[in-house]
Amino acid sequence: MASSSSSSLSRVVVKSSDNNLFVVNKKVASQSQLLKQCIDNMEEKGTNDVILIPLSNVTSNILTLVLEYCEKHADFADDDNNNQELKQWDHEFLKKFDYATLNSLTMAADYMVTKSLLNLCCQFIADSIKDLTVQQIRQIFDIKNDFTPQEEADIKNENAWAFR
Amino acid sequence: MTVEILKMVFPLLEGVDLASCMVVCKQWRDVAQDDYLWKCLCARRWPSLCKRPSPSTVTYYKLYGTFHKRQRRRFLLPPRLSLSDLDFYIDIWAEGQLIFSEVVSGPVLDAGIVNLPTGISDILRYHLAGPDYKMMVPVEPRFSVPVGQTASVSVLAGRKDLNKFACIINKAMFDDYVDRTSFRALAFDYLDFSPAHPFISGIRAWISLLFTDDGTDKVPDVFGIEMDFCDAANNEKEVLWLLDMLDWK
Repeated sequence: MASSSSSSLSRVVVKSSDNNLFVVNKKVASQSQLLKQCIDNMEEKGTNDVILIPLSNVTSNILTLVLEYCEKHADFADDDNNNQELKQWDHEFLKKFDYATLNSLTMAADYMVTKSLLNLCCQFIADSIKDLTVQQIRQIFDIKNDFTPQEEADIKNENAWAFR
Repeated sequence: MTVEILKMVFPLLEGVDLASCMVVCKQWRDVAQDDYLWKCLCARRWPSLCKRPSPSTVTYYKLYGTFHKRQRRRFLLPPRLSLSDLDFYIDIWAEGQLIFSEVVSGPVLDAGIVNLPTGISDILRYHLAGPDYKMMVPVEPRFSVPVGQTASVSVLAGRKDLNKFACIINKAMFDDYVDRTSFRALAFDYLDFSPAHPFISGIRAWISLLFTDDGTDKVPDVFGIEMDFCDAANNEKEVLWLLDMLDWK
């Protein structure tokens, strides 16, 4: 196969932490700044081989979700950012997940530098915290209260202004 | 949740939600008490505040918590007046005829009616059991106001510590005397405040006649008299503060 310096790859292979391989269209992969950087670097070197990008921090079920998001957003990449259909899709997309998944997805979005997904997850978590009581927050996010009763009383007292 | 995620999520929260997060667990508290978050919240509310270098003695957290909304609760110092300094001179007329005339001391009015007599409607019983602060005195012997007659009331307060008087109610009529469905007749008058408190007005003293309900058409008896200042004062301390501000002469 002839190699040229202006070659552009159409696909990359991404490997999850549990060693599953995902073949990803370049346009889709470019939604992640981490993957895009890898692709750009390889293209600069003029490589025409298929690139394998290992992601040591992302399991295959989470990677599937990130790629689903990237695929959808790649489809809308040329539209303006305020596309209502896309916003609706984003919301429905996140609504499906339990907290643990949402947490992993957020970390993966951070690691893969998929900024729009990261912002989306953070806003979603912030919206879920809004107007909840302390007890409800602990339940939803499965958090153990590690304050002693005295500490909890003190900090509640300090924040009493917020609880009325 | 990792600290990194919390650090991204917390800036998106409003102050009250961030305060709730502080109480969730130690990890959340440590992230949420970063004063930079509170500085951003303060900057949204009072943008000019951040034009000055950081306040040295107070954190933005403290500032936000203190002023995030107007303080509703009043923190009153102990009143300078006590109930035992007070006497109330209560006079009631029906069509110009004096039908009740007593000097009632502050503590007696505060003690209220210890044992409610039988034959009181549920509506009135409910009102009397309510949380609002009221001063009451039993009427003994009971009196009644004949149908069709209008009744009026005057109340003077005397304070022994200054040896002065103030007008609480000046010949106020019991307006809805005819309507006996609530088994109360109400009269009010606006309080006169000392010139030391020039911006206060519109606060009333209320007097109620409390009626029995014997289930007949007979004209009911007045078994008690209630006084309150529910426009402004809802506990003993507040009432004493209010009375202290009157135009004592």
